[in-house]
Amino acid sequence: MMKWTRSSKSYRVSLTALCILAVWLMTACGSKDYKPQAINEETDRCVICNMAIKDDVFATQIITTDGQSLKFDDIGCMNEWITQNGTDTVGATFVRDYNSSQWLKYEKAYYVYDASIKTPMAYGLVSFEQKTEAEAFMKEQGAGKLMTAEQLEDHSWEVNRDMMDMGSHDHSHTEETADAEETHKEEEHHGK
Amino acid sequence: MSDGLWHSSSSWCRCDMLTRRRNKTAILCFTMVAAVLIGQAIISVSTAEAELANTTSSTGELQALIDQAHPGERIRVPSGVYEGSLILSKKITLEAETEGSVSIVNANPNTRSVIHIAADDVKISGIQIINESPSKIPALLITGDRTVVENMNIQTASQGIVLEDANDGQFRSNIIQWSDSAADRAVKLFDKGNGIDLYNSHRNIIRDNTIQRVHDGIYMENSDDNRLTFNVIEHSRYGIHSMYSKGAVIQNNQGNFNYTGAMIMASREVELTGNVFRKQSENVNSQGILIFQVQDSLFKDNKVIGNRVGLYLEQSENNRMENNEIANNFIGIQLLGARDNLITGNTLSGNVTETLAQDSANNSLDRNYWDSFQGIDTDGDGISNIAYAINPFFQGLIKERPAFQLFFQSPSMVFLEGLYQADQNTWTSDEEPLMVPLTSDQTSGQKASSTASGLIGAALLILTLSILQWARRRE
Amino acid sequence: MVNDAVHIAVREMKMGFRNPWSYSFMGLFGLFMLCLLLINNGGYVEGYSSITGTMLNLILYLLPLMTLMLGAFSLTGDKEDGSWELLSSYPLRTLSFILGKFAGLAVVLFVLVSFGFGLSAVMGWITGRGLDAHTYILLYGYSISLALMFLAVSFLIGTVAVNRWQALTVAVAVWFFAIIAWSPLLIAVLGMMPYGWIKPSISVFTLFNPAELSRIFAVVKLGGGSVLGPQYYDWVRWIRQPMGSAGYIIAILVWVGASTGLTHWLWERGRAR
Repeated sequence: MMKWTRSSKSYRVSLTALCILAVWLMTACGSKDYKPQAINEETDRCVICNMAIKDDVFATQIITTDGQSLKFDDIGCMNEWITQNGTDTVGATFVRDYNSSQWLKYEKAYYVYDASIKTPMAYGLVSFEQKTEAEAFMKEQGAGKLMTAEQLEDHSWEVNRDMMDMGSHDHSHTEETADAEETHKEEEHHGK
Repeated sequence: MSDGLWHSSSSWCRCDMLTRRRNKTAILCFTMVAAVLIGQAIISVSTAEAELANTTSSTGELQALIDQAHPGERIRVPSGVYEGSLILSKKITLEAETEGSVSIVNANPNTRSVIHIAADDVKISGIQIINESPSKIPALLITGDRTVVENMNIQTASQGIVLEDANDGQFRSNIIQWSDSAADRAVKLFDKGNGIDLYNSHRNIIRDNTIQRVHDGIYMENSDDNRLTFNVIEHSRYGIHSMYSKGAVIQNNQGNFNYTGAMIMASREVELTGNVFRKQSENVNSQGILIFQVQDSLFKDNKVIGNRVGLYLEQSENNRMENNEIANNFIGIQLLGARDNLITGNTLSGNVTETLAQDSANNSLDRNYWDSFQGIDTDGDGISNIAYAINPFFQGLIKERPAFQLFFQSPSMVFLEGLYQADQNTWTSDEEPLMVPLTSDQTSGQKASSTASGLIGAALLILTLSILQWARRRE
Repeated sequence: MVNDAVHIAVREMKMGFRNPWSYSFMGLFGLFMLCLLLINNGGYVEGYSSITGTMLNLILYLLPLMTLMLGAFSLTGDKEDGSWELLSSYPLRTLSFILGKFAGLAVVLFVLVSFGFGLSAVMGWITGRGLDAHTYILLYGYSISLALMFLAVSFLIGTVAVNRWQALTVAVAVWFFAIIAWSPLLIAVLGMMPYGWIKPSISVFTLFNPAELSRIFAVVKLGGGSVLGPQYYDWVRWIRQPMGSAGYIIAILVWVGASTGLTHWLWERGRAR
């Protein structure tokens, strides 16, 4: 019995030591090399908006300093995450080339914005590896604004249609019906 | 004229050219419809022949007929299979002479829709559309206002019906399915197209449609005041998906076996009532109803049963959730950064865990029924005197480290949650939980006979007793 | 050799069914299964829901502890009352002894679990609060497999413990570690590791905890796999197939084989001395 206790204790000590060593090794070696992870359409969902992420050119991801991959369905959602959480834990940031779908470092890519470009969360931004390809895309679309990553910092990040500012300022043809419906709803609530 | 119309269906170009002024012909037409109904049997025989006769009909003939028609005219298409990429660019009615016996197969699947409705006030009905090879081009494209599409059967390997800047239309009793051909069945859910897709299209009525095996059943973007009622959407990614839209009325729809039943995102003034969402539980990200960045909306009288998460609410404000029945889900309600919502009168029962919540203290939660909660009612008013507080520990843990989700409701996790009692005042809590549910009808419990398990149990009892008997006898 | 093992098994069963502990455990488990029926006021139950989730957990609290105690006590009992000393003077192989005892105790546990399940199903049938057959069979299989794996663990405990009191202490400690302290410990230890290590570590550790192994198997087979999150999707998908059941049975066999093998080795060593 005594023998058993002693040996298990020493085993436990060595296991702990091994763990600590492993942790140390991981943090020591793994700090520089952040690699983007593949998108799994079955399981990945945007950390911000909860939508399933399609393995397409709009997908983006952040690899955190401890190696966690945060995936987003739209570059706008990634920007939202950085706004909320800061860049302290961000190891590397990746976007995709619009033509080849290859992962690119966020800082090195070229961006084209136009409200008419359809993206999953309607931020209207796409990314390119080559400036020439971005320009060709703009030419083809007949619209767009070319930006680098630095210029993107001053981008307004407005979505195609901002729901927060809608409502009474909206003088479109829908106003009348919306108002009518609202009164209708209110009546219904009072009735119940 | 009527004779020629349905007896020689191969010479189908003899459409009726009635206008409203020609009363006599109108009456004749009525008689014709009646005759069609009575003579169904005879027709069905001749349909088979007609299909054969018309297989080779080219796009041109049908399109030519449409082009020749005067605005306001009604074209009745005789039974048959047609090839086509039709454009309807004037106010006409295109309908199957016999409902369900007219098929239009896409001749140019990669470049053009089977039917493109480009004019206002067009009506089509009773036609089957077959769009088999996968592409981005919708089976039915609508860019005109006040379109009526009814009793259509759309088998598609791309989008079903796409509305672009199309307002005030009516879409009733259509069936939209992902094409069942062997090649199309292999397409992954995420690569499919939407059933009905609305972009910048307002005040449409979408009712009684059945949509199966597509990407999103009904997708709305930048589209306001649409009414979605009595639709059934199954085996799709999201049943109803609303983005950047306001004033949608989503009533009495059903969603089964989708990834998520209703995905309401970045929308306002939505009225989601009386819907039933069952068994959205297959995918790791499944929900009955997901609400994200939604304001000023009403979620009432819905039943969410047997989903992975019943009701998921994130970053949304000023919504009312009343009288919903949330039963037998793995997670009943999940709240993340939701504030100023009124959550009242809901019945939560049979959920593996009733709620997960984080950063959602500023909602008014009251008078909900939580079946796992043992309240104390000293004054007999049916309301517990102690509050029901939601422990934020597990939600906080998995948000940071999703890998720990494996411990969901394990005994050790339940134990650990019990130990965590910090900052109770910041927990989301129901101050006045109900002692008995508001909705008395227990529709959630699948009442069925437990005879089978009873019989197995009886057999087990007999077996154990006889083993005991045997062991005792040998003593 | 087989004859010897059968002989030992029959002896074990007789002792087991004479043991008042077995009956009190049987009574407890039966009562407890009936209590679960009372909780089930929603009526008929199918798949992963609050009732089946609660049943999984409560069985996990009770059954492993009962099994550990019955198994460990049986082995230490043989050592304490001198019957092992007596038996080892016969030309009886240690393997026959170990396997015979395992088989005998497995039958006792089978009767114990089956009685509880039988009773609750019959009462559920009569009162209209039963389970759907598929769910019932799954929970029953889960309980049996849980009992078998913890019986294997109890043999190790019974081997290293010198008397009943020590066996009781170790049994409770093992139970506490496997059932209650499991996730707090893993969270504390793995929380410090780089993110990428957490999932593989948990996956491996789970294989070494029969309680977690069987709980996760049961949750997935009840259709609740999606609640375990995206990280384990591939596992969940694999377990859901018939292959998953086969894999689970292999895991049980490996568990039982490894710990009875180890027990055998330790007993042989003791006998040689």
